[in-house]
Amino acid sequence: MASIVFRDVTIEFPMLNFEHRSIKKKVASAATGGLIVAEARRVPCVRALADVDLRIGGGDRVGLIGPNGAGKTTLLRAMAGVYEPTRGQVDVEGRVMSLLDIGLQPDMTGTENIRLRGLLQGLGRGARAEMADEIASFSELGDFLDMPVRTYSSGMAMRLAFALATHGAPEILLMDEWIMVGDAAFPKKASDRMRAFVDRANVLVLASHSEAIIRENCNRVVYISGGRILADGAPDDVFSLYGQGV
Amino acid sequence: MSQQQKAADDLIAGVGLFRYWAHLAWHEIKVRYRGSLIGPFWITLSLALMIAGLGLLYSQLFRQDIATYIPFLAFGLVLWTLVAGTLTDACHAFVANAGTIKQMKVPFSAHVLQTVFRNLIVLVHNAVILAGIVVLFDVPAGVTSLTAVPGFVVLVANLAWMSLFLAVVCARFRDVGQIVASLLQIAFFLSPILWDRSMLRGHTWLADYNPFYALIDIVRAPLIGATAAEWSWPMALGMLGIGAVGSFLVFRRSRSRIVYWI
Repeated sequence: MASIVFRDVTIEFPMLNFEHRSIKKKVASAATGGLIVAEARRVPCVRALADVDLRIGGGDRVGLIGPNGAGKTTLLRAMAGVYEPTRGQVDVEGRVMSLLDIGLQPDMTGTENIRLRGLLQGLGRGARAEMADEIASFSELGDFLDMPVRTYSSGMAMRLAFALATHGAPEILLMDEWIMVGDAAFPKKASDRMRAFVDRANVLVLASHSEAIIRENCNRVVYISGGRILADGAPDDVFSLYGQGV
Repeated sequence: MSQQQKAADDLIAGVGLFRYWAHLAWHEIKVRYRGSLIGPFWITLSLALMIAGLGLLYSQLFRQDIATYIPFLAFGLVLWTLVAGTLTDACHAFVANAGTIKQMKVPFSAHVLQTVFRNLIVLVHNAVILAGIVVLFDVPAGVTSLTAVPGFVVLVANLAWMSLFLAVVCARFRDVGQIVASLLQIAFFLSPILWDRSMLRGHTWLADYNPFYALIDIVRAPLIGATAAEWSWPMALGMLGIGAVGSFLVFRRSRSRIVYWI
Protein backbone atom coordinates (compact mmCIF):
# COMPACT_ATOMS: atom_id res chain seq x y z
CA MET A 1 0.00 0.00 0.00
CA ALA A 2 1.39 3.38 -0.99
CA SER A 3 1.89 5.86 1.83
CA ILE A 4 3.59 9.11 2.71
CA VAL A 5 4.41 9.85 6.34
CA PHE A 6 5.90 13.12 7.61
CA ARG A 7 7.06 13.21 11.21
CA ASP A 8 7.90 16.62 12.63
CA VAL A 9 9.40 17.74 9.36
CA THR A 10 11.18 21.08 9.22
CA ILE A 11 12.85 22.32 6.07
CA GLU A 12 15.05 25.38 6.09
CA PHE A 13 16.55 27.01 3.03
CA PRO A 14 19.95 28.60 3.41
CA MET A 15 19.80 32.04 1.80
CA LEU A 16 22.96 31.96 -0.23
CA ASN A 17 22.75 35.30 -1.94
CA PHE A 18 25.84 36.97 -3.24
CA GLU A 19 26.63 38.50 0.13
CA HIS A 20 26.87 35.22 1.94
CA ARG A 21 27.86 32.83 -0.76
CA SER A 22 31.13 34.60 -1.50
CA ILE A 23 34.30 32.85 -0.49
CA LYS A 24 35.85 36.27 0.04
CA LYS A 25 33.70 36.76 3.10
CA LYS A 26 34.72 33.37 4.46
CA VAL A 27 38.38 34.19 3.99
CA ALA A 28 38.02 37.70 5.40
CA SER A 29 36.14 36.28 8.32
CA ALA A 30 38.72 33.57 9.00
CA ALA A 31 41.66 35.97 8.63
CA THR A 32 40.26 38.37 11.17
CA GLY A 33 39.01 35.73 13.56
CA GLY A 34 35.44 36.65 12.74
CA LEU A 35 35.86 40.29 13.77
CA ILE A 36 35.05 41.50 10.30
CA VAL A 37 32.07 40.09 8.38
CA ALA A 38 31.15 37.97 11.33
CA GLU A 39 27.74 37.38 9.81
CA ALA A 40 29.33 35.22 7.12
CA ARG A 41 29.65 32.50 9.74
CA ARG A 42 25.95 31.89 9.89
CA VAL A 43 23.98 31.70 6.72
CA PRO A 44 20.48 33.09 7.24
CA CYS A 45 17.75 30.54 6.70
CA VAL A 46 14.15 30.68 5.63
CA ARG A 47 11.88 28.12 7.21
CA ALA A 48 9.76 26.68 4.42
CA LEU A 49 8.15 23.90 6.47
CA ALA A 50 7.79 23.95 10.23
CA ASP A 51 7.10 20.80 12.25
CA VAL A 52 4.85 19.23 9.68
CA ASP A 53 3.10 16.01 10.66
CA LEU A 54 1.21 14.39 7.85
CA ARG A 55 0.01 10.91 7.07
CA ILE A 56 -1.26 10.09 3.61
CA GLY A 57 -2.40 6.57 2.78
CA GLY A 58 -3.72 4.56 -0.17
CA GLY A 59 -6.76 6.03 -1.88
CA ASP A 60 -6.09 9.53 -0.59
CA ARG A 61 -6.44 12.21 -3.21
CA VAL A 62 -4.99 15.18 -1.45
CA GLY A 63 -5.37 18.76 -2.59
CA LEU A 64 -2.82 21.21 -1.22
CA ILE A 65 -4.07 24.75 -0.86
CA GLY A 66 -2.59 27.88 0.59
CA PRO A 67 -1.32 31.30 -0.42
CA ASN A 68 1.79 31.79 -2.54
CA GLY A 69 4.91 30.94 -0.58
CA ALA A 70 2.95 28.80 1.87
CA GLY A 71 5.25 25.80 1.29
CA LYS A 72 3.12 23.76 -1.11
CA THR A 73 5.90 23.16 -3.63
CA THR A 74 8.40 22.50 -0.84
CA LEU A 75 6.05 19.90 0.60
CA LEU A 76 5.71 18.23 -2.81
CA ARG A 77 9.46 18.27 -3.34
CA ALA A 78 10.01 16.70 0.06
CA MET A 79 7.53 13.97 -0.90
CA ALA A 80 9.40 13.45 -4.17
CA GLY A 81 12.64 12.94 -2.21
CA VAL A 82 14.22 16.00 -3.78
CA TYR A 83 14.46 17.92 -0.50
CA GLU A 84 15.80 16.12 2.51
CA PRO A 85 14.39 17.58 5.72
CA THR A 86 16.55 19.69 7.97
CA ARG A 87 14.88 17.99 10.95
CA GLY A 88 12.31 15.23 11.21
CA GLN A 89 11.64 12.29 8.99
CA VAL A 90 9.93 11.62 5.69
CA ASP A 91 8.97 8.05 4.83
CA VAL A 92 7.54 7.35 1.41
CA GLU A 93 6.47 3.91 0.32
CA GLY A 94 5.58 3.18 -3.26
CA ARG A 95 6.80 4.29 -6.66
CA VAL A 96 6.70 8.07 -6.83
CA MET A 97 6.33 10.11 -9.98
CA SER A 98 6.41 13.86 -9.84
CA LEU A 99 5.24 16.52 -12.17
CA LEU A 100 6.43 19.62 -10.40
CA ASP A 101 8.03 21.33 -13.29
CA ILE A 102 7.90 20.65 -16.98
CA GLY A 103 11.00 18.48 -16.49
CA LEU A 104 11.79 18.01 -20.17
CA GLN A 105 15.08 18.61 -21.95
CA PRO A 106 14.14 21.46 -24.31
CA ASP A 107 16.74 20.66 -26.97
CA MET A 108 15.87 16.99 -27.14
CA THR A 109 13.08 15.74 -29.35
CA GLY A 110 9.99 14.24 -27.77
CA THR A 111 11.25 10.76 -28.62
CA GLU A 112 14.65 11.45 -27.06
CA ASN A 113 12.98 12.74 -23.91
CA ILE A 114 10.93 9.55 -23.66
CA ARG A 115 14.05 7.46 -24.12
CA LEU A 116 15.91 9.47 -21.49
CA ARG A 117 13.15 8.95 -18.94
CA GLY A 118 13.06 5.24 -19.74
CA LEU A 119 16.82 5.02 -19.17
CA LEU A 120 16.50 6.89 -15.88
CA GLN A 121 13.92 4.36 -14.76
CA GLY A 122 16.28 1.57 -15.74
CA LEU A 123 13.94 0.10 -18.35
CA GLY A 124 15.22 -2.40 -20.88
CA ARG A 125 14.93 -2.00 -24.62
CA GLY A 126 11.58 -3.75 -24.91
CA ALA A 127 10.01 -1.81 -22.05
CA ARG A 128 11.28 1.45 -23.53
CA ALA A 129 9.73 0.69 -26.92
CA GLU A 130 6.44 -0.07 -25.20
CA MET A 131 6.71 3.16 -23.23
CA ALA A 132 7.37 5.15 -26.41
CA ASP A 133 4.30 3.67 -28.12
CA GLU A 134 2.06 4.23 -25.18
CA ILE A 135 3.16 7.83 -24.69
CA ALA A 136 2.90 8.58 -28.40
CA SER A 137 -0.70 7.43 -28.47
CA PHE A 138 -1.67 9.14 -25.24
CA SER A 139 -0.03 12.48 -25.96
CA GLU A 140 -1.25 12.55 -29.59
CA LEU A 141 1.87 14.46 -30.59
CA GLY A 142 2.33 12.57 -33.88
CA ASP A 143 5.19 13.91 -35.97
CA PHE A 144 6.00 16.50 -33.33
CA LEU A 145 7.69 13.72 -31.36
CA ASP A 146 10.62 14.07 -33.75
CA MET A 147 10.90 17.82 -33.13
CA PRO A 148 12.82 19.44 -30.28
CA VAL A 149 10.59 20.05 -27.28
CA ARG A 150 11.36 23.79 -27.30
CA THR A 151 9.31 24.06 -30.52
CA TYR A 152 6.21 22.73 -28.74
CA SER A 153 3.31 24.86 -27.60
CA SER A 154 2.91 24.88 -23.82
CA GLY A 155 -0.09 22.59 -24.18
CA MET A 156 1.92 20.06 -26.18
CA ALA A 157 4.84 20.12 -23.73
CA MET A 158 2.35 19.63 -20.90
CA ARG A 159 0.80 16.62 -22.62
CA LEU A 160 4.18 14.98 -23.02
CA ALA A 161 5.25 15.77 -19.46
CA PHE A 162 1.98 14.43 -18.10
CA ALA A 163 2.20 11.26 -20.17
CA LEU A 164 5.77 10.69 -18.94
CA ALA A 165 4.89 11.27 -15.30
CA THR A 166 1.93 8.92 -15.35
CA HIS A 167 3.47 6.18 -17.46
CA GLY A 168 3.81 2.79 -15.83
CA ALA A 169 1.15 3.50 -13.22
CA PRO A 170 3.07 5.22 -10.42
CA GLU A 171 1.65 4.44 -7.02
CA ILE A 172 2.11 8.01 -5.91
CA LEU A 173 1.63 10.94 -8.26
CA LEU A 174 2.71 14.42 -7.20
CA MET A 175 1.55 17.37 -9.23
CA ASP A 176 2.01 21.08 -9.07
CA GLU A 177 -0.59 23.44 -10.39
CA TRP A 178 0.60 24.20 -13.91
CA ILE A 179 -0.53 20.87 -15.34
CA MET A 180 -4.10 22.08 -15.44
CA VAL A 181 -3.44 24.70 -18.07
CA GLY A 182 -3.28 23.65 -21.70
CA ASP A 183 -5.49 22.63 -24.55
CA ALA A 184 -9.16 22.36 -23.87
CA ALA A 185 -9.38 18.74 -24.99
CA PHE A 186 -6.62 17.44 -22.81
CA PRO A 187 -7.75 18.11 -19.26
CA LYS A 188 -10.70 15.73 -19.75
CA LYS A 189 -8.28 13.01 -20.81
CA ALA A 190 -5.89 13.95 -18.01
CA SER A 191 -8.55 13.81 -15.36
CA ASP A 192 -9.78 10.47 -16.75
CA ARG A 193 -6.30 9.11 -16.43
CA MET A 194 -5.82 10.61 -13.01
CA ARG A 195 -9.06 9.05 -11.86
CA ALA A 196 -7.82 5.72 -13.18
CA PHE A 197 -4.83 5.90 -10.81
CA VAL A 198 -6.90 6.83 -7.85
CA ASP A 199 -9.35 4.03 -8.58
CA ARG A 200 -6.45 1.62 -8.24
CA ALA A 201 -6.01 2.85 -4.67
CA ASN A 202 -3.02 4.97 -5.46
CA VAL A 203 -2.08 8.30 -3.96
CA LEU A 204 -2.46 11.66 -5.61
CA VAL A 205 -1.14 14.89 -4.16
CA LEU A 206 -2.06 17.96 -6.11
CA ALA A 207 -1.23 21.58 -5.32
CA SER A 208 -3.53 24.11 -6.88
CA HIS A 209 -5.09 27.51 -6.40
CA SER A 210 -8.24 26.38 -8.16
CA GLU A 211 -11.02 25.25 -5.86
CA ALA A 212 -12.85 23.69 -8.81
CA ILE A 213 -9.90 21.50 -9.81
CA ILE A 214 -9.36 20.34 -6.25
CA ARG A 215 -13.02 19.62 -5.64
CA GLU A 216 -13.13 17.64 -8.86
CA ASN A 217 -10.04 15.53 -8.16
CA CYS A 218 -9.55 15.33 -4.43
CA ASN A 219 -11.26 13.78 -1.44
CA ARG A 220 -9.06 15.43 1.15
CA VAL A 221 -7.68 18.94 1.41
CA VAL A 222 -4.64 20.15 3.32
CA TYR A 223 -4.44 23.88 3.91
CA ILE A 224 -0.97 25.16 4.60
CA SER A 225 0.30 28.63 5.27
CA GLY A 226 3.67 29.85 6.48
CA GLY A 227 5.00 26.30 6.34
CA ARG A 228 2.45 24.98 8.82
CA ILE A 229 -0.60 22.83 8.29
CA LEU A 230 -3.60 24.91 9.37
CA ALA A 231 -6.34 22.51 8.39
CA ASP A 232 -6.62 18.99 7.05
CA GLY A 233 -9.89 17.24 6.24
CA ALA A 234 -12.80 16.90 3.87
CA PRO A 235 -12.86 19.46 1.03
CA ASP A 236 -16.06 21.14 2.28
CA ASP A 237 -14.72 21.69 5.79
CA VAL A 238 -11.32 22.96 4.75
CA PHE A 239 -12.61 25.23 2.02
CA SER A 240 -15.03 26.86 4.39
CA LEU A 241 -12.16 27.57 6.78
CA TYR A 242 -10.00 28.75 3.90
CA GLY A 243 -12.80 31.04 2.73
CA GLN A 244 -12.88 32.66 6.18
CA GLY A 245 -9.17 33.31 5.83
CA VAL A 246 -8.12 31.30 8.88
CA MET B 1 19.88 5.41 6.89
CA SER B 2 23.18 7.08 7.70
CA GLN B 3 24.64 9.89 5.60
CA GLN B 4 27.53 7.57 4.79
CA GLN B 5 25.17 4.94 3.41
CA LYS B 6 23.17 7.51 1.45
CA ALA B 7 26.32 8.97 -0.10
CA ALA B 8 27.61 5.51 -1.04
CA ASP B 9 24.20 4.55 -2.49
CA ASP B 10 24.21 7.74 -4.55
CA LEU B 11 27.58 6.82 -6.07
CA ILE B 12 26.56 3.23 -6.80
CA ALA B 13 23.22 4.25 -8.31
CA GLY B 14 24.99 6.95 -10.34
CA VAL B 15 27.39 4.45 -11.90
CA GLY B 16 24.45 2.11 -12.60
CA LEU B 17 22.71 4.81 -14.63
CA PHE B 18 25.46 4.61 -17.23
CA ARG B 19 23.07 4.66 -20.17
CA TYR B 20 21.18 7.66 -18.81
CA TRP B 21 24.15 9.98 -18.44
CA ALA B 22 25.84 8.67 -21.57
CA HIS B 23 22.68 9.56 -23.50
CA LEU B 24 22.67 13.06 -21.98
CA ALA B 25 26.37 13.56 -22.67
CA TRP B 26 25.97 12.57 -26.34
CA HIS B 27 22.99 14.83 -26.59
CA GLU B 28 24.93 17.79 -25.21
CA ILE B 29 27.65 17.27 -27.80
CA LYS B 30 25.05 17.07 -30.56
CA VAL B 31 23.28 20.23 -29.42
CA ARG B 32 26.50 22.19 -29.15
CA TYR B 33 27.36 21.47 -32.78
CA ARG B 34 23.89 21.23 -34.27
CA GLY B 35 23.83 22.55 -37.81
CA SER B 36 27.58 22.67 -38.12
CA LEU B 37 29.11 20.68 -40.94
CA ILE B 38 31.89 18.83 -39.13
CA GLY B 39 30.43 19.01 -35.62
CA PRO B 40 32.78 18.30 -32.72
CA PHE B 41 35.62 17.95 -35.20
CA TRP B 42 35.85 21.74 -35.06
CA ILE B 43 37.62 21.31 -31.72
CA THR B 44 39.81 18.67 -33.30
CA LEU B 45 40.62 20.93 -36.23
CA SER B 46 41.53 23.91 -34.07
CA LEU B 47 43.61 21.70 -31.82
CA ALA B 48 45.39 20.26 -34.87
CA LEU B 49 46.20 23.78 -36.10
CA MET B 50 47.42 24.73 -32.64
CA ILE B 51 49.68 21.68 -32.55
CA ALA B 52 51.09 22.47 -35.99
CA GLY B 53 51.66 26.14 -35.16
CA LEU B 54 53.04 25.70 -31.66
CA GLY B 55 55.01 22.66 -32.77
CA LEU B 56 56.88 24.63 -35.41
CA LEU B 57 57.44 27.64 -33.18
CA TYR B 58 58.48 25.92 -29.97
CA SER B 59 60.64 23.29 -31.62
CA GLN B 60 62.66 26.25 -32.91
CA LEU B 61 62.59 28.19 -29.64
CA PHE B 62 63.59 25.18 -27.57
CA ARG B 63 65.92 23.84 -30.29
CA GLN B 64 64.14 20.50 -30.37
CA ASP B 65 63.95 17.91 -33.12
CA ILE B 66 60.54 18.49 -34.67
CA ALA B 67 59.95 14.75 -35.16
CA THR B 68 60.09 14.10 -31.42
CA TYR B 69 58.72 17.45 -30.25
CA ILE B 70 55.44 17.37 -32.20
CA PRO B 71 54.27 13.97 -30.90
CA PHE B 72 55.22 15.07 -27.37
CA LEU B 73 53.26 18.31 -27.76
CA ALA B 74 50.27 16.64 -29.44
CA PHE B 75 49.77 13.98 -26.76
CA GLY B 76 50.29 16.57 -24.04
CA LEU B 77 47.80 19.04 -25.51
CA VAL B 78 45.12 16.45 -26.20
CA LEU B 79 45.39 15.11 -22.65
CA TRP B 80 45.48 18.61 -21.20
CA THR B 81 42.28 19.44 -23.14
CA LEU B 82 40.65 16.49 -21.37
CA VAL B 83 41.91 17.54 -17.94
CA ALA B 84 41.10 21.25 -18.24
CA GLY B 85 37.78 20.66 -20.01
CA THR B 86 36.58 18.16 -17.41
CA LEU B 87 37.58 20.27 -14.42
CA THR B 88 36.07 23.46 -15.87
CA ASP B 89 32.80 21.71 -16.72
CA ALA B 90 32.68 19.95 -13.36
CA CYS B 91 32.23 23.32 -11.67
CA HIS B 92 28.83 23.58 -13.37
CA ALA B 93 27.79 19.94 -13.10
CA PHE B 94 25.07 20.55 -10.47
CA VAL B 95 24.21 24.14 -11.28
CA ALA B 96 23.62 23.32 -14.96
CA ASN B 97 21.34 20.41 -14.03
CA ALA B 98 19.40 22.35 -11.39
CA GLY B 99 16.14 21.84 -13.29
CA THR B 100 16.40 18.06 -13.17
CA ILE B 101 17.74 17.98 -9.61
CA LYS B 102 14.80 20.01 -8.26
CA GLN B 103 12.20 18.01 -10.14
CA MET B 104 13.11 14.43 -9.41
CA LYS B 105 15.46 12.28 -7.47
CA VAL B 106 18.44 11.48 -9.68
CA PRO B 107 21.73 10.46 -8.04
CA PHE B 108 24.02 13.49 -7.84
CA SER B 109 26.94 11.42 -9.03
CA ALA B 110 25.15 10.83 -12.36
CA HIS B 111 25.53 14.53 -13.20
CA VAL B 112 29.23 14.39 -12.42
CA LEU B 113 29.75 11.27 -14.50
CA GLN B 114 27.86 12.91 -17.35
CA THR B 115 30.39 15.77 -17.29
CA VAL B 116 33.36 13.42 -17.30
CA PHE B 117 31.85 11.31 -20.08
CA ARG B 118 31.11 14.33 -22.26
CA ASN B 119 34.76 15.30 -22.11
CA LEU B 120 35.79 11.75 -22.93
CA ILE B 121 33.67 11.96 -26.09
CA VAL B 122 35.58 15.10 -27.06
CA LEU B 123 38.82 13.25 -26.35
CA VAL B 124 37.86 10.47 -28.75
CA HIS B 125 37.37 13.04 -31.51
CA ASN B 126 40.74 14.59 -30.74
CA ALA B 127 42.43 11.20 -30.71
CA VAL B 128 42.15 11.30 -34.51
CA ILE B 129 45.02 13.83 -34.46
CA LEU B 130 47.12 11.50 -32.36
CA ALA B 131 46.54 8.57 -34.70
CA GLY B 132 47.63 10.78 -37.61
CA ILE B 133 50.74 11.91 -35.77
CA VAL B 134 51.74 8.39 -34.75
CA VAL B 135 51.69 7.37 -38.41
CA LEU B 136 53.22 10.58 -39.77
CA PHE B 137 56.15 10.75 -37.36
CA ASP B 138 56.58 7.01 -37.00
CA VAL B 139 56.27 7.21 -33.23
CA PRO B 140 57.89 4.13 -31.67
CA ALA B 141 55.41 1.72 -30.11
CA GLY B 142 56.02 -1.51 -28.24
CA VAL B 143 54.71 -3.69 -25.47
CA THR B 144 55.53 -0.96 -22.94
CA SER B 145 53.11 1.35 -24.75
CA LEU B 146 50.34 -0.75 -23.21
CA THR B 147 51.04 0.76 -19.78
CA ALA B 148 49.23 3.81 -21.16
CA VAL B 149 45.98 1.88 -20.69
CA PRO B 150 46.14 1.59 -16.88
CA GLY B 151 47.64 5.08 -16.94
CA PHE B 152 44.57 6.39 -18.68
CA VAL B 153 42.27 4.60 -16.24
CA VAL B 154 44.10 6.21 -13.32
CA LEU B 155 43.95 9.63 -15.02
CA VAL B 156 40.18 9.37 -15.57
CA ALA B 157 39.61 8.06 -12.04
CA ASN B 158 41.49 11.07 -10.69
CA LEU B 159 39.41 13.39 -12.87
CA ALA B 160 36.28 11.73 -11.51
CA TRP B 161 37.02 12.46 -7.85
CA MET B 162 38.22 15.97 -8.68
CA SER B 163 34.99 16.56 -10.60
CA LEU B 164 32.82 15.35 -7.73
CA PHE B 165 34.72 17.60 -5.35
CA LEU B 166 34.53 20.65 -7.61
CA ALA B 167 30.85 20.11 -8.43
CA VAL B 168 29.98 20.14 -4.71
CA VAL B 169 32.23 23.05 -3.78
CA CYS B 170 31.13 25.17 -6.76
CA ALA B 171 27.47 24.60 -5.91
CA ARG B 172 28.16 26.14 -2.51
CA PHE B 173 30.70 28.80 -3.49
CA ARG B 174 30.07 30.20 -6.94
CA ASP B 175 33.42 32.01 -7.03
CA VAL B 176 35.32 28.74 -7.10
CA GLY B 177 34.45 28.13 -10.76
CA GLN B 178 36.22 31.36 -11.72
CA ILE B 179 39.20 30.52 -9.54
CA VAL B 180 39.49 27.06 -11.09
CA ALA B 181 39.38 28.51 -14.61
CA SER B 182 42.22 30.94 -13.82
CA LEU B 183 44.32 28.35 -12.03
CA LEU B 184 43.98 25.93 -14.95
CA GLN B 185 45.26 28.58 -17.31
CA ILE B 186 48.34 29.10 -15.14
CA ALA B 187 48.73 25.35 -14.64
CA PHE B 188 48.86 24.88 -18.41
CA PHE B 189 52.00 26.98 -18.69
CA LEU B 190 53.55 25.58 -15.53
CA SER B 191 53.02 21.95 -16.57
CA PRO B 192 55.31 20.08 -18.93
CA ILE B 193 53.12 20.25 -22.03
CA LEU B 194 54.82 22.88 -24.16
CA TRP B 195 58.13 22.08 -22.47
CA ASP B 196 59.56 18.89 -21.06
CA ARG B 197 61.12 18.19 -17.71
CA SER B 198 64.48 17.54 -19.38
CA MET B 199 64.54 21.17 -20.64
CA LEU B 200 64.61 22.50 -17.11
CA ARG B 201 68.09 23.26 -15.97
CA GLY B 202 68.41 22.53 -12.28
CA HIS B 203 64.83 23.39 -11.40
CA THR B 204 63.26 20.00 -12.08
CA TRP B 205 61.13 20.41 -8.96
CA LEU B 206 58.83 22.50 -11.16
CA ALA B 207 57.81 19.28 -12.87
CA ASP B 208 58.39 16.86 -10.01
CA TYR B 209 55.93 18.49 -7.63
CA ASN B 210 53.30 19.13 -10.29
CA PRO B 211 50.37 16.72 -9.87
CA PHE B 212 49.20 17.37 -13.43
CA TYR B 213 52.59 16.26 -14.69
CA ALA B 214 52.23 12.88 -13.01
CA LEU B 215 48.74 12.38 -14.45
CA ILE B 216 49.74 13.28 -18.00
CA ASP B 217 53.10 11.56 -17.84
CA ILE B 218 51.69 8.10 -17.06
CA VAL B 219 49.64 8.21 -20.26
CA ARG B 220 51.86 10.26 -22.55
CA ALA B 221 55.28 8.76 -21.87
CA PRO B 222 54.51 5.17 -22.94
CA LEU B 223 52.72 6.41 -26.07
CA ILE B 224 55.63 8.49 -27.36
CA GLY B 225 58.22 5.81 -26.70
CA ALA B 226 59.50 7.25 -23.43
CA THR B 227 59.23 5.95 -19.88
CA ALA B 228 57.19 7.63 -17.21
CA ALA B 229 59.21 9.37 -14.50
CA GLU B 230 59.62 7.00 -11.57
CA TRP B 231 57.54 9.06 -9.15
CA SER B 232 54.69 9.66 -11.63
CA TRP B 233 52.89 6.40 -10.91
CA PRO B 234 53.16 6.56 -7.10
CA MET B 235 52.06 10.19 -7.18
CA ALA B 236 49.07 9.51 -9.43
CA LEU B 237 47.96 6.54 -7.34
CA GLY B 238 48.52 8.41 -4.10
CA MET B 239 46.39 11.30 -5.34
CA LEU B 240 43.71 8.85 -6.36
CA GLY B 241 43.63 7.23 -2.93
CA ILE B 242 43.69 10.42 -0.89
CA GLY B 243 41.47 12.33 -3.30
CA ALA B 244 38.82 9.63 -3.54
CA VAL B 245 38.52 9.42 0.25
CA GLY B 246 38.62 13.20 0.67
CA SER B 247 36.01 13.95 -1.96
CA PHE B 248 33.77 11.18 -0.59
CA LEU B 249 33.94 12.82 2.85
CA VAL B 250 33.02 16.19 1.35
CA PHE B 251 30.19 14.58 -0.60
CA ARG B 252 28.92 12.69 2.45
CA ARG B 253 28.77 15.92 4.41
CA SER B 254 27.14 18.01 1.67
CA ARG B 255 24.96 15.65 -0.35
CA SER B 256 21.67 16.43 1.34
CA ARG B 257 22.33 20.20 1.12
CA ILE B 258 23.30 20.46 -2.55
CA VAL B 259 19.72 20.84 -3.73
CA TYR B 260 19.29 23.89 -1.48
CA TRP B 261 22.41 25.54 -2.86
CA ILE B 262 21.61 25.44 -6.56
